[in-house]
Amino acid sequence: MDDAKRFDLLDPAVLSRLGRLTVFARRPMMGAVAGLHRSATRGASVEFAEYRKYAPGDDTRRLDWRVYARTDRFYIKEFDADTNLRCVLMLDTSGSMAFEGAHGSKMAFARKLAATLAYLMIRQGDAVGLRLADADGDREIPPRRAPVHLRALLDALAEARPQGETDLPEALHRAADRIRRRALVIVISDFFADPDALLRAFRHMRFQRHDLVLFHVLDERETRFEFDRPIRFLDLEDGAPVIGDPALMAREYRNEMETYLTRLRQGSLEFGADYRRVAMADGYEKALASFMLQRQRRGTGKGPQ
Amino acid sequence: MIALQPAMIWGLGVAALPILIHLLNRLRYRTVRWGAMQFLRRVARSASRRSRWRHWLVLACRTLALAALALAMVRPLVGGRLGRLGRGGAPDAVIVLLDRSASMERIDGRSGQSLREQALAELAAVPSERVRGSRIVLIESVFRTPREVAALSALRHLVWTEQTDTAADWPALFDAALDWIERHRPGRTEIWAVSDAQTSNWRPASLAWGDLGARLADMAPAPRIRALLADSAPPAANRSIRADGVRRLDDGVALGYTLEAPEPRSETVQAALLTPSGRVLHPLPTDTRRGAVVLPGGDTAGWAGLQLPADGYVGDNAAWYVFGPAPEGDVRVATENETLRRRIRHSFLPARAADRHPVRLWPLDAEPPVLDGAALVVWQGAPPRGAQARALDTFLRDGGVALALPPAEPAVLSETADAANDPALWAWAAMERAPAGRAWRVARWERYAGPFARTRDGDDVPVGEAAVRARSLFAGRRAEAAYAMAHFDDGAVAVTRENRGNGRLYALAALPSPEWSDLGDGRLWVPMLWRLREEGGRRLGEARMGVCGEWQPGSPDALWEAAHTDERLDPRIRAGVYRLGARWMALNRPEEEDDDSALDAATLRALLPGVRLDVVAPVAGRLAGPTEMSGALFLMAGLFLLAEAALALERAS
Repeated sequence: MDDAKRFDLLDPAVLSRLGRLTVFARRPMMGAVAGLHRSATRGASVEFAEYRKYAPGDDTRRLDWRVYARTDRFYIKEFDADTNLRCVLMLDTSGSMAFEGAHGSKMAFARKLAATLAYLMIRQGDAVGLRLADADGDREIPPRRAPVHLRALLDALAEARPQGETDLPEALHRAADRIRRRALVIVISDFFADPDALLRAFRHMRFQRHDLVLFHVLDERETRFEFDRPIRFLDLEDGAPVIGDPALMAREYRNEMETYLTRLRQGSLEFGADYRRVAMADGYEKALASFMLQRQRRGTGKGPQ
Repeated sequence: MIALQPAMIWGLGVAALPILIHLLNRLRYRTVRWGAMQFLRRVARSASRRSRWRHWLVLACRTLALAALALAMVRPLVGGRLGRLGRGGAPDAVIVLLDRSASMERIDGRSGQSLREQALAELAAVPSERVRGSRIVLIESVFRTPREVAALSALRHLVWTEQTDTAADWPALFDAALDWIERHRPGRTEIWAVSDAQTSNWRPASLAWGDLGARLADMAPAPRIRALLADSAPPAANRSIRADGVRRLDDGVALGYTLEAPEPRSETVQAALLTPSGRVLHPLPTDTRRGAVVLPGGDTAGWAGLQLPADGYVGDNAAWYVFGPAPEGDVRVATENETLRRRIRHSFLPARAADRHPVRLWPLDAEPPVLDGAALVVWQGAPPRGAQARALDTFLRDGGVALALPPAEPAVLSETADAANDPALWAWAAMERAPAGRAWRVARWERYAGPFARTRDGDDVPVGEAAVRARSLFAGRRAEAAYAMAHFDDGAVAVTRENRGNGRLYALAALPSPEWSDLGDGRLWVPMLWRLREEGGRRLGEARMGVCGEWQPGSPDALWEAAHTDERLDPRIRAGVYRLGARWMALNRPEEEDDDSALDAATLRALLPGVRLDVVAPVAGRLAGPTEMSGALFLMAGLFLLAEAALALERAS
């Protein structure tokens, strides 16, 4: 694949604006090397974690002598460790992602979103992997932090084609099982699946202690459902047609959509997933900036105050 | 419905436009590749169920709105009754059968017109397109002579559609119409029957209806009959008076009357008493139905009238009387009972043996006798048939009086199976005997008029003392319409009176023999016979009372003049007192015209089964003329469009 096509997914201006921000995990990560993120283990960073009683074998250099002077007891002063994170970008490549909205297809939007995230995270030293959930099964690129790894990720994104029916909840379950160490799992999809099944998959992710981020990509035509004449709707996944007068269906469609979105958002909150509804009209930059800023504020405090 | 712009009816095709557009739209689907199918499929299922009716409603509203607009351009005329009358194209002939009976003079409270005037106005309002090129024939109920007229609107101005005090004979009217059709063969014919459907005029029991139905069925093309009915309900607070005979008193003349007044019958009606000497007010009590007004003085001849104040039906507000010396007519006795015959002969024994005896035999096994000089016929036995019946009927209609007595045999002599061909003049129920040791007695009887009226001194005739051990009740169809003059203590009718033409038929439910009853008691029997003879004798005198419409002047040249008014009235159709030389005639409206009962639509249709009879029933508050419906149709179109907009907006929102 030539570089031009590969790097079409990255917009230098966007990267430049977002480059000042950092993607933080909300949960402690288990990285292999030191990095920007809080580790699940205690380490030697400047962030105080807790006091604990001294036990034989502990490094005596970590004894807090001031506490000993006040209480006549030995206490070890512990600090959080900083580590890098493993991020898995999970992209839904089901047929429904081929939907063409006013601002292009959902798939193109998702590709750019994923590519930008991959670039930013590799640049900040995190390992980034990719899983493509498609009808034939999952295609997986394991997380790596080497800058050259970005090329593989971009190639995979550029080659991803939306087609067929994908069982997204099942793909999420598989991913939860496959990703052995806790990681930041970012799912980019339209989530057109059974909400109950999706929520069960989110719970599975939480059980595996992954920091789950959901980018819900929707076009406003899908939410507003505004048509002025009878339409023959062709299913992007299986090609089955539904003929109907949108005027007769709009109100109920919107109600159904609203109910579904509400349920997905509330379910995500319940299972600790970071749910982000992304309107294609707003552009992926805005969605990413909002995500990163929010993470930065709520994160470890290492970002700009 | 009649269209003023019939060519615009093609515009109704516009109503199909929404349907066409709908079908075209179905063919012009745009294809959209869609991702969120999980919602769409669910919604499409429920939307197709729940929203389909709304979709069709919208389509129906659009179609109806356009149809209403197109119809408005057609400018239809409908008027309820006239809309229905005016349905269809113009026939070759329209025969208008007009009921001019007295009951058609009732005033409709809404229009202020009589039912006859209202019907004529409605006929005049029928658009000319409806009868364009049609022959219009009027047959009215009095003379029943077909008369062709130029237009329906001309009917109002004809003398043959003016007010009368007569009754109508609807079978005879239809008969005249069918005669005209058979004679002229006009082609497609419609018969418009204009009437108040009064039962007594339509005579549903008449055998003539069967014959009419058969004639109509044989006609090709079959005439179409449309009955335009007027509301025959009597006006509220209507009062009526009816002449109930004249009785000579020692010092005057008693004018019997029957007064009907609304409840409560506690007021006094200020009636006008008209006599040759002028008009005076005379209060009539309303607490009793029957009464008499006494004209003092010893005038041997004269006339009088009683008029009630005007109300919603002026046709029943007058009673007319004439009186004068009545010659003593003969008595004809038709019986094989020798004892009865002797009893009647003894009742009329002349003062001197040399004088002529008035009682004559009616030979039952020979031709009927000439009844020129007869005043009373006493008929005992099986009711007359054939020529005997026809002779007696003619006698009665000419003003004679007959007394019917039941046959002695305890057999059922009611109407027989061959009644259609040879109807008996009346019928008797089977004889019944009172339980052993008991007897029926006459509990109530007419005390003001009739055979058991009070004496001149005001004493009751002792009818109530007479025991009746066996009886045979007057029966048959005519018994229902007859007037009950006396009742037994168990409610059965002892004496009935039936008006036939100018005369009257009395029927006594028991024989005067000891096996049957004590009615042979001279105190009852003799005055009864004498009174009946006197009543029948009036037909022989110079002063006679008759029924308007039934009595006709003998000669067309005879110029009978109204005595009670300066107006020139036709005695053939108007009630009143008339004079021709020394002869006097008081004509009153037929008694059956006071009967309020009317036939309903189902009964009317049943009269002529198998015939296309469209009954246009009366509608309260309906205007006489047809109404152009364009305005209403435009309004309807607007309402349909509003409804469509509301549905569409709701859908869009």
